[in-house]
Amino acid sequence: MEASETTDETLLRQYAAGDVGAFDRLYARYELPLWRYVLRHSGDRAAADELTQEIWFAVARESHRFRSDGRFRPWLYTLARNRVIDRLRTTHRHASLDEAPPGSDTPLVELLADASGASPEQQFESADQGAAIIAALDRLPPDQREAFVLQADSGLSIEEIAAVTATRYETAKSRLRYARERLKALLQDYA
Amino acid sequence: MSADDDNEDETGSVYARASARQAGRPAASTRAAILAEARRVAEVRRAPAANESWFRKRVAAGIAASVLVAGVAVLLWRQTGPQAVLQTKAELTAATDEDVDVSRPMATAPAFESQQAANQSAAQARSESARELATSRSASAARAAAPAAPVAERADAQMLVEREFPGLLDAAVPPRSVWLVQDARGTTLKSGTLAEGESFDSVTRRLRQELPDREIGAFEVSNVSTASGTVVQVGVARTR
Repeated sequence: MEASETTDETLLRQYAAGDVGAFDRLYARYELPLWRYVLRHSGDRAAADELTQEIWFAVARESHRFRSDGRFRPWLYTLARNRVIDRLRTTHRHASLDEAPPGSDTPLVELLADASGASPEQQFESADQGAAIIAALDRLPPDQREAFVLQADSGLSIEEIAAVTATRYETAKSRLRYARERLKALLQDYA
Repeated sequence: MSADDDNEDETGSVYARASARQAGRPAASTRAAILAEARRVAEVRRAPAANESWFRKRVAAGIAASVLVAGVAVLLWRQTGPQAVLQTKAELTAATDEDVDVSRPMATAPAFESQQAANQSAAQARSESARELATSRSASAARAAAPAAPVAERADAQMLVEREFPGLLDAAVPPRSVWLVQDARGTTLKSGTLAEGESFDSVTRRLRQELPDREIGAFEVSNVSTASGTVVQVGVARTR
């Protein structure tokens, strides 16, 4: 953000004071990063649309409670994370590849292999690098995936990631490191 | 920056570019709903400001009305104060004691006087409450009036009679006139009824002999009505 731009916190306070244009500007800044975060954790676009709407509704309704010394970005992603977790608990939409999806006893990785006729690793060879890394993201443990997405998609710092995920700084840093190492290894294998 | 850091940055960059291409954006309807809700919330928040202005106007109008009512009440009280009593006295002097039918039977007078005698022992207690009643009025009356401030106001006279002569206002044949002597604090020193042939002036002369250490002022006379509509004269004199 350039120095001449209004800060996120100022925009939110302006909106809380009645400036609807400030909300529009804030939404424009975070529409896509937040959308991508929600999409990575909800699994499909319809659910991501619903969650995104819920999250921004909460931003509008809770804007007057935003602390004067708070930071908007961690606050926004904490709102988002809480709703994503609540949704996942109720829908079980996003499962680990090593877990069996609802209604089956077969781990997802085996189901994918059966459906495509190729293993997930073999699928990487036929996809471009970007698609490969997105697919590899799904193979990360949820905590590492979340930390990586918050940084890579939304630009949060390690401090902010720790605040959003309610963990210590060192824990957030470790999750990021493991996520990158695993993805890097997958990319190297792909290359 | 180390090679590992470079690789990590590349990993993040590769992902970020891929994510931006693959994820797309939320549906247009989602965006519209979000911005509409933001406007709705802002409108709701603005509404209390408008109501607050309206509320403040209501409060100001209420205070103004209260001040107006209080002013009118003070004005009316002043109009029914000592000046009104003096006017009443002037009206009564036109109908002097000589004009009053002193031959009217006072059949119940002795009984009333015995009742009054029975109440004398409680006179101090009653006069205390009468003193409290007169305190607020006597203070303002003292400021507004002459040094020997007149006491009798119609409303006060009624209350004095009820207090000092219980039962009088309900009597079938009440006495023609009653009188009270009060000190500066409103404590009743003596009271009684006008005997046949007696006038307020004669009572004044008599009391001055009975209370030689007191300077007794002239009786301020007002009328009170009994339950049956009979008018009873009430004379109240103050000692100085």
